[in-house]
Amino acid sequence: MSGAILSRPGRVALSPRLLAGILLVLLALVPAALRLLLGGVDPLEQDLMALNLPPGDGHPLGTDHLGRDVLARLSAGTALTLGTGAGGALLAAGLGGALGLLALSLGGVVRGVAFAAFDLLRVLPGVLLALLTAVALGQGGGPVMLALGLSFAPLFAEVARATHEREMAADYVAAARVFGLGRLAVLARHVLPNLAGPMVTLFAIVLPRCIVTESVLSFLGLGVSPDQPSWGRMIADASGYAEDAPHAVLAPMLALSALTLGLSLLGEHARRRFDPLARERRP
Amino acid sequence: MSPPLLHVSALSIGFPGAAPLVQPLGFSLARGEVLGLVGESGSGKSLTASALIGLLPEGMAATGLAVFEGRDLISLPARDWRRLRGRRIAMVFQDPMAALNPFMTIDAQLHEALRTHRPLRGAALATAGASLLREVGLDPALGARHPHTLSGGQQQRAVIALALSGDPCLLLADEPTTALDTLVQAQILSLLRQLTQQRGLAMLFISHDLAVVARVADQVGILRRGELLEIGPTADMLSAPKHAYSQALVAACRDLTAWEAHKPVAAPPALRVRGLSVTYRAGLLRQPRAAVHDVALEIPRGGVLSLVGASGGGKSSIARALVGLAEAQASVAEVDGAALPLGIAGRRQQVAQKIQIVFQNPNASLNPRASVAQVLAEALARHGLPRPERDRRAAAALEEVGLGAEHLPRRPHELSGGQKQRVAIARALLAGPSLLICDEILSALDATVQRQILALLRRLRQERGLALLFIGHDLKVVRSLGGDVAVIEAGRIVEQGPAETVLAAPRHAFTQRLVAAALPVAAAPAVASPPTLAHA
Repeated sequence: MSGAILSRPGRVALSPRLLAGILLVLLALVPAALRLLLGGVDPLEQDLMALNLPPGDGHPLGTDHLGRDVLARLSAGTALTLGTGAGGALLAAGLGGALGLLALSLGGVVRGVAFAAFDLLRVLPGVLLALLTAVALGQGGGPVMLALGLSFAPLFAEVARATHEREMAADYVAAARVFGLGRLAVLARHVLPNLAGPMVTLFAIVLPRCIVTESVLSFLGLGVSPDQPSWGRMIADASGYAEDAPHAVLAPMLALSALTLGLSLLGEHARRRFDPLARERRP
Repeated sequence: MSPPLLHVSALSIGFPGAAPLVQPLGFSLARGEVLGLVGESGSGKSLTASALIGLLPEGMAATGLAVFEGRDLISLPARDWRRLRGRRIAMVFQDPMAALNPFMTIDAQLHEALRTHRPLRGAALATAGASLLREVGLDPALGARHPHTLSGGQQQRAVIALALSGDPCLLLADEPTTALDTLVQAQILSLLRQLTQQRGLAMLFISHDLAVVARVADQVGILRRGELLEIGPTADMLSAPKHAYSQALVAACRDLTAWEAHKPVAAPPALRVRGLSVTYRAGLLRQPRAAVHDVALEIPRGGVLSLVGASGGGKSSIARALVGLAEAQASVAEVDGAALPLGIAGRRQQVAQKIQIVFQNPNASLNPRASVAQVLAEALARHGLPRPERDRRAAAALEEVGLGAEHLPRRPHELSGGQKQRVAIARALLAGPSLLICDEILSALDATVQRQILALLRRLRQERGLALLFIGHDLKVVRSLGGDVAVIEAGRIVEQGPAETVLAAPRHAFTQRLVAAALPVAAAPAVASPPTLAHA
């Protein structure tokens, strides 16, 4: 057990893992921050006289096979990568959590059908889902987010179901129902407060997975349109020239690794903070 | 008297560097002798047993001396423990289902245990297993079954057989009957007593219940907050306890204040049900299972009715049905003369709110996240009162159960077990009940706290004219409540009438068994003589 669990709320003990997480995420965001503050060159501008240049004058991270500035593309791609991933995770939480809870409180056939659908979604590979959404809605950020949302929603629905079942079996819920409180009141008073912690935790765990998945989809060409610089796209584009210009592959790879590792560490911290065993101990 | 088998002196247990959890204590135990350790939860009785079998929780250490067969157990290296544990010293735990492997038959577990202790094979192994099962009063044919197909009492007998497999001479029994109902408890206690006599076992028997300990022990030690207050022969301890706490404990076990007789009032009864049946549906295709058949109950205003019976008999099903938590049908269901809607939807009607319930386990019936104020507000939620009024009523209800308004912002884990149960009662009172169902509300509480809660119920009945449906297994309490008693067996009422009459002269065979199994705390020296217990 780390010190963080025993700390009082509002006073977060800075464990080495938490510090590492924060630093890694900040590091991954440095290019985007620099671009915001100082401005930068156009990430789409091609300089055919400067293909696959190593890091150096004018191009701090070099150029890629089309002579585009890697740093510019990296910083411009941050928002897209993070945004699509976060959007997908949010959508998953919304779909899984809200629809799951709705189905649970309606009960009966609705519940059975809804959870059968969630199970069906879970067995479909994410790539297949992305292919389907891309075919149906075309390429772009929206379809990718939808694919991410759909493939991660079952996780949130399962967590909602587990919490719901545990709470509904509790004596204090029986007591509430004896006082004539309806399903919705019980849901709001007893289930939701106990669900918030696990949901936040799961979100923190799913977010980095969504970001990686988005990059994988972009790498496979199922992601956002090719002219938009997402990190996955950058890795895909530059991987053909890895021998001539390793920097063009390494830069987005390292950024992606730092961001997801950092977010995972933060997610782990969130999980510990909301751990039901730790919760009892906090005043 | 034979020389002591186990001599403990200055045994102290705790985390090194911190205040000890068990302060230096000592006792000695001879073969054929039973020492009972009694104490409330957290008094250190289980830690003492753990130290004597070398299984203290991680990080804890014991100091002092515990000489067993010439060796000191406290300083025994782990290697030597493996030769001692299970062979010379064995343990019986509280929850038999947790002590048995659910995936193995009783025979398989017993044979495995026997083989680790003795070089037995084939027929000899089977014979040894069967004779152990016979010794603990189990039909050897049951050995082929898996634990979950056995009753709680049979499971505990199997655990005892396992404990005996290494032919130990010291048996540590940690609350071995707490998970069992009264009838089965009496059987297990008599078995344990019998085994100590026949095998010349020494037994350390741990329980929170003095009445249980008095039934088996030759000596009783009373522990409180890690301190052994006094120790002595059972008869002396019961007749002349020296320490004030021991006196309170003995008193809590024995002379409960009898409640005032109910004065008949010219008012419709608080509860009248006829033909009450409770069924549980297991699934669409399964046959619904009836837990309660055709039960008739009547409780006058301000009256008391006690429901007694073995666990699984349907007592709690009746309670849950009356507050809409179980599906039920009845030909007549009235509260204060008005029709009582059954089912959970009916709880929205004001008339249904006149029946309230308090559950067995106060830890489970209060949401750990909610403050006492929020817990109490729930009873008033349906009225939509303004906040000051809600707070005023909540504070008044707390005061009525003997707690102050300073408890309002606290959370359940900041309260003691008794305080939590008081909050649960206050919550029920806020709905303005005329009948309060007490579903085993004393079972999770220590003896001295039980008394306080009983005193509270008694006052509420006098001040509010509250009628009580009391569900419990402690006939001593039932007797003190007076009023009526209904005896439930397998979902049917087999005997009903004034508590005094029914318990003094039970007519039905099941009631007779219940009464025989109850544990009177007698100061008579009968405890030292060979056991004369009912073999129900």
